[in-house]
Formats: sequence, structure tokens, C-alpha cells
Amino acid sequence: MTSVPILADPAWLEGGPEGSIVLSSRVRLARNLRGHPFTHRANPDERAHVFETTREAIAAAPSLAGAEIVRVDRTSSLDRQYLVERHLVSPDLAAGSGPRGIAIGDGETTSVMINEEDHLRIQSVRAGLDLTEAWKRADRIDDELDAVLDLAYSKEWGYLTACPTNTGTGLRASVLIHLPALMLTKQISKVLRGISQVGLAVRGMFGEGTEVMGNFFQISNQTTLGTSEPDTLGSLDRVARQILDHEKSATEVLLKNARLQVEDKVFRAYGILGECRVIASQEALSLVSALRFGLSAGLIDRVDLGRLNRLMIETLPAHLQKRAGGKLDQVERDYRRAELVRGVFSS
Amino acid sequence: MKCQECGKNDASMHYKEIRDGEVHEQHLCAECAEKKGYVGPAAKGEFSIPNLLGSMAESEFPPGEGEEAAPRCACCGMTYPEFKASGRLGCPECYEAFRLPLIPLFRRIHGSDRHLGKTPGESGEERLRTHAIRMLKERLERCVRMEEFEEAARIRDEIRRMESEDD
Repeated sequence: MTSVPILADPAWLEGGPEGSIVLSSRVRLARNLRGHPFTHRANPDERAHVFETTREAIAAAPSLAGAEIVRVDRTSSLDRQYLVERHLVSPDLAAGSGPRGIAIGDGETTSVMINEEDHLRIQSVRAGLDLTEAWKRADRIDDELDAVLDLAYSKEWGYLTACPTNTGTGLRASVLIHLPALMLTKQISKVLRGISQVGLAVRGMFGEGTEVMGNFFQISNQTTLGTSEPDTLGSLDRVARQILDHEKSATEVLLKNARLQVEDKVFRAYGILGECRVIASQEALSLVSALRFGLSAGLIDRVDLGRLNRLMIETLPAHLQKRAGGKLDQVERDYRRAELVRGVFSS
Repeated sequence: MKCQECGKNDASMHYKEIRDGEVHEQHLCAECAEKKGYVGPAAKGEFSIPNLLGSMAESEFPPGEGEEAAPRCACCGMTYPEFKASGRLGCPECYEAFRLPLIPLFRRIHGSDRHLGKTPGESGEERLRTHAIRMLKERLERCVRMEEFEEAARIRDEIRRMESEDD
């Protein structure tokens, strides 16, 4: 069994361009090795071969120098959940079978999943709204791996992936955006409808198939064939900026019409986080969301954005257990979570 | 209403079919409907991307004719029905084996069946030029459709000039 060490704070939680509303920008590229069955049809030996070939290529890639390569199938279920909570590993990779893993680059801003649905999933994440930089880094890693690996590509259809929804660029770009004012003013469904009309997808914070939590929404492109990478990134960036403007005007409306109520919500959140004795993760997330809103609306300045962002990850179940050094039941987790947030807010 | 097939259970599935211009109705219980092959993934309430893709692929390939003609992937042995069932291809070679049904599937999913993105091994500059040429070709197609022939001729020359820089 391989044990995953407690990792340092991810650099992408430190707040970037438009950081008070946009948490992060992500790019992932799906790639496969020519002449090998896709992961779901590969036997354990073939998966091990793909893992080894990819591992060597990653070790030789300058952009991934010093990357930690973890065999996810050799880790405990707690460690797997820990990696999922940090957005390094997808729930599918965690739950999969056979040789598979993750290469974690510097500051967790770049990483490569091995033997997920596709042989390689190159991932790059930046703080705030910064798709261009996220793309540049993923693109560079792709070039470096391509120099060593024989990637499955056709001139006509681009990168060949296990699922035809990713064929072409293999690019999924996404922006994680915090929209409390649009939620409070009940304009969110109108905005979300607009997003789906322009061919983008909206999901909850933790990716595919999960509920929207803490007013976080993930907006991503859906098509990968017939559009170039710059066009895909450009239209996502434009839409994200439009939503950002909507959120800002909704904030202004709220401050003009209901300042007292909004202030009350923000400071109650501050009070609870500073004094609670037990707290569930859902409640912690929604209180942190209220404080984030207080920050972006200029109502409160005694909290730090980066600290709030980190807290969203640190208060998740596997993170609390790693910190405590062993398994905790739910009651213990709620107690430890309260202790953690109190330490941050009561001073 | 009792099931038309077994006459015992209550009919909970109702089908309307139009064959040769005539409407045929069937009222079946869940068990008989499944036996007769009426209950697909959607009817069982299993709604997933592979199922959805599978059913999209289904409509591209009328069962009975295309399917037998569809080859097996020579590399990994996957058959088209297997692809339909899982929604995932078996290996990169499957793209060639299932080329014919994949084209309309791509058009449905992506609204296109042509890659316009990155080419491996291209330098940044080459990539920009490839992109520019693709954009011009798209504009050329639009101009021809709109019968703006003068502009089309200008764009054609521009494409020729850019492509000759390749040599």
C-alpha cells in the first residue's frame, strides 16, 4: 500500500484575476496511445504497460519536472478520496480498477491522470479567470509528451478518444464560478438557461452528476470537433465574463435594496464559523459562501480570500481525517471541522 | 386492462406503432414487454451517457441492414453493437472500422465531423497559420453559399498564397 503524504496548499486556491467571483479555470486534454485498447477494454497487463510507458514520458517532460507519481490503485480508499477532494483525481479514476494513477506537478496546478477513461488526461488549473494560461501550460505538457509518445490522432478527426463526445481537440475547459447574488435575486435560472443555449454545460461544484453546493457553478464547453482550441477557450471566457457582469450588477441591486439583510447574513456566517462547536460540511460550505459574498461585495474585510478557498477543501471529510491521522466517524468529523473553522475565525 | 400477451398481469406498458400506414396498439405487462424486446434502457429508467449515445448511434444505423455490414474492429475485435451498448469505442482503430456510422454521430454530438484544432508536432507559428487557413476556408464556403463570388475569389487567392508558403 502506498501512502499519500499530506500535500502542501494548492497554488490555485490563492485567488487570481476576478478571484472574488471566479475560483478557478481548468483545462483538460484527453489523449491515448496508438495501438492500445482504451482503458475500459484493456486487461491488467495492457493497463500496466500504458501506465509504465506514460510514467516514463512524464518523468522526462520538463514541464512536469519533480512531479509526484502516485499509483492510485495501491492507495487506501481514504487517500483516494483525499485526492478526489483536491480535484486531482476524478471520482471515476478513484473507483476504477487495475493499474492507474496520477502525476502531480508543482503546486498541483498541473497534473496527469493515467488510465482514466482515456490513457492520459492532462490537467491544468489556474486561480481565478485565466483560461489562456491554463491552456498554455496544458498545451506545453501535451507537446512534451507527444514528442515521446505515439498519440492516437487522425488528421480528419483529431485526437481519438474512448468516448466520441471528446473526439477532436479532447479539450474540456471549465470555469468554477461563485454566484450568490444571482441565486439570492433568483435570476440564476435565467442565466443558466442562457448558458445552455450557447452550447455550454453547467454543473455543480464537484463535477459531473453532483448537486450545486455553496452557490458554485462549473461552466464548461461541450463540443470538441469542428472548433479550434482558441475558439473554444474564447467563447467560454466571453460567457464567463458576461456572467461575472450579471453577478456584479445583481450584487449592486442587493446592496441598494437590502443592504441590512445582506450584511446580517454575512456577519451571522462570520459569527457561526467563529463560535460553532459542531458543523456539517454542507453548512460550513454555505457559510463560507456567504463570507465570500461579503468579501466580493465589500461588506467585510477581516477575512482573506485565499484562506476561505483553502477552507472549502480542508473541511471536506477525507481532509479532516488525513489531518487527524486516521478514520473519523461523522460525529467526530463535525466536531473537528468546527474546531478547524473556529481556529480561523475566532481570533 | 390486462396484458394482451399473457392475459394475467395488468398492462402497464402501452405501445403505438405505425406499420405500413396502419396504427397498431399493444398493451403489455412489464414482463411481456421485456420478453418481446420493447423495454430498452430508457424504459427501464437507466438514463446515462453511454445509453444515450448508444441510442443516438442506433438511429444512425438502422438495425438489420447496416449492422451486419458493419465490420468488427480488426485491432481490438469490438463490434458495432458492443459500441452501441457501452457508448465507448474499443481502441483508436475502431474509428476506421466504424467510420460510416460515426460521421453522422459526430454531426449530431458536435455539429461537425471535421477536426479544426491542434495538430501534433506543429510549432506555434505553423499552428496559427493552419488556424488562419481553416478560418479562410470556412469564410470561402460561406461566400459561395451566399453567392458572393468576388469576395470568394479574393479569399481563394489568399488561401493559395498562404498555402504556397508551406513549400
